[in-house]
Amino acid sequence: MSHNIKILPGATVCEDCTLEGDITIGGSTVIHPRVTIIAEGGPIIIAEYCIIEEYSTIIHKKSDKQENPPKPLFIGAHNVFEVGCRLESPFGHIGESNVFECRSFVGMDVKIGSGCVIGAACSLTAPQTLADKTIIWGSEHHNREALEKQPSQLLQLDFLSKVMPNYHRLRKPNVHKRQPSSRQSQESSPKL
Amino acid sequence: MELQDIYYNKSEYVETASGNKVSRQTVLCGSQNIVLHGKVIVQSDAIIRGDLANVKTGRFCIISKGSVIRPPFKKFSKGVAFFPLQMGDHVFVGENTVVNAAVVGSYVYIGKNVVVVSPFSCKASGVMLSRTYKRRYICPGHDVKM
Repeated sequence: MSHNIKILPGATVCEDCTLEGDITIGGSTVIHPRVTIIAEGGPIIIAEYCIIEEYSTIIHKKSDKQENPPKPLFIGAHNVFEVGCRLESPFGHIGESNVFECRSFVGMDVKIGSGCVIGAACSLTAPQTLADKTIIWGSEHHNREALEKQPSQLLQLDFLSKVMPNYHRLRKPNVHKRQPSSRQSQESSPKL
Repeated sequence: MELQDIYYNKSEYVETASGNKVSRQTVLCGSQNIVLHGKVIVQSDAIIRGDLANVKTGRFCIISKGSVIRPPFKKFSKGVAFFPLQMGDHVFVGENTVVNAAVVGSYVYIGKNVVVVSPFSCKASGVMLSRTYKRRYICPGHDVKM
């Protein structure tokens, strides 16, 4: 069951992954094999320059109070989802330049700003808000503020988008760049 | 440490000439870049990322269910690349473990739910890792609750 999946040009999306529901994948985003993205409680919009690695799971679950129209889950640009991380319907918006390290878990109603790092194997289960540049690390889930900016992953993205087509079957982009004449629809899309 | 016998379904595995047993449910990306040196067992749902860089293992390794072996990403003075991953003999990788190291020595035991991330590599031989390790810091033992 996979319907209504929009892949913008420039995105690298492996065929061997589970995409269900209304999903939009931005240009230059790389999705590795065996990724699961399920949008059952509303659309999921992934902005450009994200890396989503193997066994990552992003689920937008149905909530009890169903809003009409359903609330989208918007994932900002430059996010990195490392191997085996799991997001279960966090608060409708995830900022930019976050790193979800290997096997981390983000539960319901967690609001994540920009430049955050959720350390390896850390789990956030209670509803909470992470301010910009928060780093969660270690077994005791210490948190601190980042001193430096998260390094850009552009070089890795470049490399992956060059190498992956040689080894994997990819899903083809099915949305073409809008013509300048259709500016109205561009304005209605969320700002990045 | 002696492991107990595990019986397997022969139809589920492919056996190569050098005695490697690889499950049919395994994801081998870029299989031409993966060298298993013989008598290696790769269980179901394991992922070996040969597409990113070469992956070499020694003899008698066990890669358990759901684990991910992926070469580490490295920035060089000119350009970037994934660094080839080298694994010694008799290495055990537990279930749902992520190995993102450049070198793993021989006789290394990596437990389940462990994250090994470069630049930390288990170069020493006979090391036992059963905890979660991560860049720049090593945190005391805790297993991942899923």
